[in-house]
Amino acid sequence: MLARDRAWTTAAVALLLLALAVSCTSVRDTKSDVVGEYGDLVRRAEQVHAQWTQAAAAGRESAARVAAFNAFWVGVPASPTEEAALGFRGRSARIREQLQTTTPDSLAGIRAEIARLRAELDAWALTTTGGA
Amino acid sequence: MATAAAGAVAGAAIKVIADYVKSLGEPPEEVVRAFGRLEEFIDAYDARIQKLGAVPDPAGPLE
Repeated sequence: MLARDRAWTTAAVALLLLALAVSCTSVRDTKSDVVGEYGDLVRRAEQVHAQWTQAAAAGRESAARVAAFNAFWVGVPASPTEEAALGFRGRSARIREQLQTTTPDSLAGIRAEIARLRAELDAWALTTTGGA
Repeated sequence: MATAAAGAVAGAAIKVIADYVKSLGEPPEEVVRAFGRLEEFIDAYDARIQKLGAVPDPAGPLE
């Protein structure tokens, strides 16, 4: 009986310690994970920007479409939404600020914004034959 | 048998916690350097975006 009690107690303590260990490592890893996702976003953004630069230089995209991409990229100050006003560059700067002052609670919001930007970027990506 | 298995799990968990606590107790300059690296990455990533301006319009520069 005593041996069984000891086993249960040890198992309970082990589980508690395991939960604590998982909690410690997850808090520690999350910020670097999000910074990694931000890095992936930046690399993708450079790729998409280069596609548009090349397509515009080669005359494969109309002035109107290039203007639309530029509105997405640099923003339009008079826009009704903050996102459209900031543009991709402004939103990147906002992510930078948020990451530098982040708390574990705010990381989820930053991660969601990175995912939104990634989806928007993908929608602007060009194939080698043109067309978003 | 069960006690031994639970003890092994507890031991592994204690090691993870000990490593974490040990990392917190690193000399301040190392901690600053470690976090500084992360901040440097953040700054460098954004700088790469900021240097990319508007795509030159086929009919003339916008920016």
